[in-house]
Amino acid sequence: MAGKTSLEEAVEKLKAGIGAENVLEVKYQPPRNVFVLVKTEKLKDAVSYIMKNLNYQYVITITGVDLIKQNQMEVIYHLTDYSNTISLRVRIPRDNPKVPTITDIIPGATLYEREVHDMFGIVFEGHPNLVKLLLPDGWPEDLHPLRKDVTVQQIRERLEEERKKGVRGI
Amino acid sequence: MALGLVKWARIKSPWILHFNTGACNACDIEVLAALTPRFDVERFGILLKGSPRHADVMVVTGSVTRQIRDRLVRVYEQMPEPKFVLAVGNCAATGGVFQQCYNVYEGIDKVIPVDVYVPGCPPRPEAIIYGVVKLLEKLAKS
Repeated sequence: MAGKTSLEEAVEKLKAGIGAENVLEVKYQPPRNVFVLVKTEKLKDAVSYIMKNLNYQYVITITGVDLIKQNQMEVIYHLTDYSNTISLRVRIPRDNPKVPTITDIIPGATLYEREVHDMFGIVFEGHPNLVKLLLPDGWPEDLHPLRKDVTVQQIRERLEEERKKGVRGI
Repeated sequence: MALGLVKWARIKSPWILHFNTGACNACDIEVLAALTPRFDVERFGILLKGSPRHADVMVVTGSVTRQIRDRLVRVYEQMPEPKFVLAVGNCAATGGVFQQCYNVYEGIDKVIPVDVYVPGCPPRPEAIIYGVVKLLEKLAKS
């Protein structure tokens, strides 16, 4: 049955699978969700362990968080077996946001990674086609709308500047 | 004389072009409801055209996204003079709930001139028809 017990079991198995020292923080979000912070270099191991050994089938989405006060970024992978959700978190430095891609384990994550790349500028290393997905055609490559250090007003001014330079499609 | 005839014809049968600049589809459904037999604006000669080159009035729904801006201007430029724009819905008029988004303009009038605004989220077909009637009045005075 779905519930906290089976999630706790899953976390215990995950700890045994990738090594307890690589799981930095576990936070339960009752009734059916748990947030697990893992080391960035162990991310792929954790994802493939959850998908193969714990029988989770599906990545709901990938989200990013801009933790500007800690000068860090967070990427959260929401994985589910259709009743419970494990949300894997990784922390990366804000000035060099790079994580390995999980598209070789889950091909369906391609679009989610591209979206996070658009919105936060996080680079997914090894992604087959990391180009713009949602933003307009002429959007500047170094402008990421969900980063906390840029306001709507600044974005609009920047886009007007780009239009004056002759860039179209924004 | 000939000009008067053209103007008469235009008032009696304005041809419209329906253009969605990023609407959620609610306004589009109301525009379609106005065109189809329940409200049937075709009995007043208002006819939906598929090409901007045949249209007198552009009916625009939705907030103008950055992506569609240049396409909207291009379609508007393809329409023959004199041309008129009817902004249907709050998003088309002011940006609506998307006002402070990074990827939309706050209303169609930031991009192309607008003649009549029809507020509502979405406006009822009666309101859209009323907007068209107002536009025709404006046209008759011009």
